[in-house]
Amino acid sequence: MKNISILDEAKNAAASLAGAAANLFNPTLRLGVTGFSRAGKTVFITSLVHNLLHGGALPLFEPARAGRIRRAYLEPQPDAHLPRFAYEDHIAALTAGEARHWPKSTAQLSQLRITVDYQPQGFLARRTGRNRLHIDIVDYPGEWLLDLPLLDMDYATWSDKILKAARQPSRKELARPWLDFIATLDIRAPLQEQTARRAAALYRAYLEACRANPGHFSALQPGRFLMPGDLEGSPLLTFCPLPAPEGSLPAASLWRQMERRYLAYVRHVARPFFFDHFARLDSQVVLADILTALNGGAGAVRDLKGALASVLACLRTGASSLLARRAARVLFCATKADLIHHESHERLRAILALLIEQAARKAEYAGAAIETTPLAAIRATREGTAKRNGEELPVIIGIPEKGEEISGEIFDGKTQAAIFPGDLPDDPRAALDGSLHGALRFVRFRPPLLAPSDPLARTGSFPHIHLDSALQFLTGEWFS
Amino acid sequence: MSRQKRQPAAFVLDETAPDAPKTRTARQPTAAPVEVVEEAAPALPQTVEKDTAARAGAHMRRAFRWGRVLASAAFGLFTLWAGAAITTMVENLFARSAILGWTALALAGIAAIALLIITGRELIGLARLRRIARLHDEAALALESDDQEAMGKVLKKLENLYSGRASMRWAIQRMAAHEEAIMTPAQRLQLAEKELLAPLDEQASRIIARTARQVAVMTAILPMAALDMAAVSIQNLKMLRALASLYGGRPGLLGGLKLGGMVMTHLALTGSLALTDSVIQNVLGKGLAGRLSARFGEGAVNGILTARIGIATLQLLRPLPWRATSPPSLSDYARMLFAKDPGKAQND
Repeated sequence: MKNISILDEAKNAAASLAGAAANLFNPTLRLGVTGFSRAGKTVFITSLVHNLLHGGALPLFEPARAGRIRRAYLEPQPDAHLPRFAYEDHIAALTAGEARHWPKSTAQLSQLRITVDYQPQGFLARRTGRNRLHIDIVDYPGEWLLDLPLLDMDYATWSDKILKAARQPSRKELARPWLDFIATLDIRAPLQEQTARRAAALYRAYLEACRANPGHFSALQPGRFLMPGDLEGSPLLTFCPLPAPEGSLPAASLWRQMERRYLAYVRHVARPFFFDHFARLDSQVVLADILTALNGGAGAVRDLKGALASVLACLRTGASSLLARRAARVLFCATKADLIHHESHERLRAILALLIEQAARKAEYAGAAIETTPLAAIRATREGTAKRNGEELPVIIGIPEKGEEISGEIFDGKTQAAIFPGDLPDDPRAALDGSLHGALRFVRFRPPLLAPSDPLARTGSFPHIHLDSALQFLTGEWFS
Repeated sequence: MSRQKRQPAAFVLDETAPDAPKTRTARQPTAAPVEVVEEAAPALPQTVEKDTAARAGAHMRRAFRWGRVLASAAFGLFTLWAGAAITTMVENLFARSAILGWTALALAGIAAIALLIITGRELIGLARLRRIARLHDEAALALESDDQEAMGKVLKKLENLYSGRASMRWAIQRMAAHEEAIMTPAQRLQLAEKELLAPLDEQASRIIARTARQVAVMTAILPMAALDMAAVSIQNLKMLRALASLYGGRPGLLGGLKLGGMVMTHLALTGSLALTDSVIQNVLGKGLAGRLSARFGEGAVNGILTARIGIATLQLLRPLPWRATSPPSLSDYARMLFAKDPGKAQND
C-alpha cells in the first residue's frame, strides 16, 4: 500500500508474534464489529454480551448447546487508553420498561472484554488447562472505515475521486457551495489559513448533507469529518480535495499545503487506526442495514453497495500466520432481519451476498472463511399470518416506533400491529434496478419488553435471530 | 416472478379486545405459530446425494421380477397343501374319535394364531425399517429444497420415534424449547443430529467396535474355518439387530434378513467391500499382523470387515443424513478395532 512503509509492517509483525506467544497460554480473540452508522453495531454487541452473560438461548452456538460454558464475565479491557463499550448504559436503555428504547449509536471506537471459562475438549487442552478465552470486542464507528481506502491513495488520486463523485447529478446540488468556493481558489497561491478553514468547513457541510440524504453515503472521506471523535477542531481536519494542478508547484502553494495536511491525516489518523485496531483482528463482523436501504430505494441500495465495496477492499483477511494477524473469519450480516418474515430471510441473504460479492471473493481468495447471514441481534417481533381479501399474508407482529408509517397508517408507539412489509424479490438484482419502487416498506419496531428476571439466575436474555450461529462461526473454533 | 407482487400492509391489533382479533395471530410470542404461506411446490432437487443413491439402490427390488412371482406362487401352493393336509388330518382324527379331533383342531388353531402374530410382528418390523428409510429420504429432500415446513415435520416424526425412550426425553425437551427460534432447515437438522442422534451414534460405534473385536478374537482362536465363518455370521447378524434396535428399527427375523440384504447391496454399490478386501487385506493381512501370525492377520481382516458392515448399517439405519457430524471413515475401522475405549476413539 502506498502510505504504509516497511517499518510499519515490521512493527505490526512483531506485535503479531508477541500476540501469538501470549495466545499459547491465554488465548485472546479480537472480534471486530464494523458497519455503517445505524447498521446495528451497538445492539449487536449488547445482545451478544448479554446472551453470553445470562445464558441466553443459543442452541447453534456449540459450546453453549453442549453446556461447556462454565461462566462468562466482563473484565477490564487490555487497552486502557480506549473508551470502554458502554454495555451497562445500553442495557439500561433497552430494559427500561415502558421507557425502553434502542441505545444511542456509536460515536467513536470502543472496546469491551468478555472472558469465558469453558470446559476444554481436546486432549492437549485438558492437560494444559487451557480453559479460558478472552473475547475483545472492538466496536468501530462505521464512518471511520471509509478512511481505510485513503491508505492506498495519494492526494491527487483521492481529490480526483471525490470531485468526480461530487459532480454526479444526484449530488451536484449538495456540493454546489463547496465546489463554487474551490473554483474561486488559486491553488498556486500561498495558503491562507482562513481560506483553508472555510474550504474544509464547506466540504464538511457537503459531507454532512450527503449523509443526511438517504442514499449518498459512498465516497464520504475522510471519516473524521463526519465523526471527529477526539479530533474536533484539530488542524488535522482543515483540508479538502482540490483539482490536480498541471506542472510543478511551489511548496508553499495552497495545493501542496493541502496535500501535506492530507498526508498528515493519513499518517496520524488513518494509519494508527488501521494498525492499532483494524489489522489486529481475528474475526470480523460487518453489519449492513439492507432493509433501511431498500426503504430508500434502488439508489440507496446501490450506494450501500459502493460504500461496502470501498471499505471491504481494505479488510485484512486470510489465514493468520505468526507474523501477520489477519481476520480469518468474516461474517457479513444483513441486520434487522426481524423486520421481515423468516420466509424472506433467504432472499435478504441473497441481496446481501450480491452487495458484497466482490469483497467476499477477494477475502475468500486470501484464505478467509466467509459467511453471509440475516441477523437480528434483538428480535423485536414475532411472526404470524393475516388474511387480506381472502389471501393469507405472512406478517410480523410488534409495536412499531412512534411516527412510523405504512400505507397511510401512522403508529403511536403503543399499539401492536401486524405488518406485511411486501415481498423481497426472488432475484436479488431487482434490489438494485429500481423495479421494487413502492413495493416494500419496512417499519422500525420498539425493543421487546424483556420480562424482569431474577438478576442472579443465568436464564433469559434477548430473543434473537441467528445470533447463535453467528457466534458459532466467529468464535466456535476457539473453544476447543 | 410467478406470483404477483403483494403490497405492504399493516393490521392494527387491538390489545384490549383479545376476543376479536382481525388476524389469528394475536397470541403471545412464545405461542405464536410459525406459519408458512403455501407457495408453489418446491422443485425436486437436481442433485441426488450419494447416500440417497446408494439407498435407492438398496430399495431397487421394487422392479418386477419373475423370481418373486415364482416364490409367491410356490408359497401359495405350499399354504394350500398345508391347509388341505391339516384339514384332512383333522377330519381323519374326528373319524377315529371326537376327543382326538378336537385336540387336533385346537392345536391347529393355536398354531394359526401364533403364525398370524409372528407374521404381524415381522411386518411391523419391516414397516419400522421402511419408516426410518423414508424419514432419511424426507430429511434429505427437505434439506435440498430448503423447505422449513417439511423439515419441521421430519423432525417431529423423529421425536415421535424416540418419544417412548426415557433416555431421550431430556433431549427431546431441549429440542422443543428451540422450536420457536428461527433457523434454516440445515441448522435445524444439525441441531437434531447433535441433540438426538449424537448419543445414539456414540452407542452405535461402541456396538460396532465391540462386535469387530469379538469377531477378530473368534477368528484368531477358533480352530476350524467353517466354525469361525458361522461365528462371524452370527455375530454380524446380532450387530445388525442391535444397531437397528438402537435407531428404532427393531426388526424381526425377516426384517433382519432384509436389513442384511440391504447392507450387502449398499456395500456392493459403494464398492467399499472390495476396498476393504484388497486394501486392508494387503496392509493388515500380509503386513505386520500377518507376519506375527496368519490367524491373527485373518482375525484383524475379519474384524475390520465387520466394522465396515456395521458402518454400512449405520448409513442405512440412521434416520437423518450426516451433516453436523461425519460417518466413521476407513481409518476409524482400525482404531475401533484396537482402541481401548472405542467410544472415545470415535469421538476424537
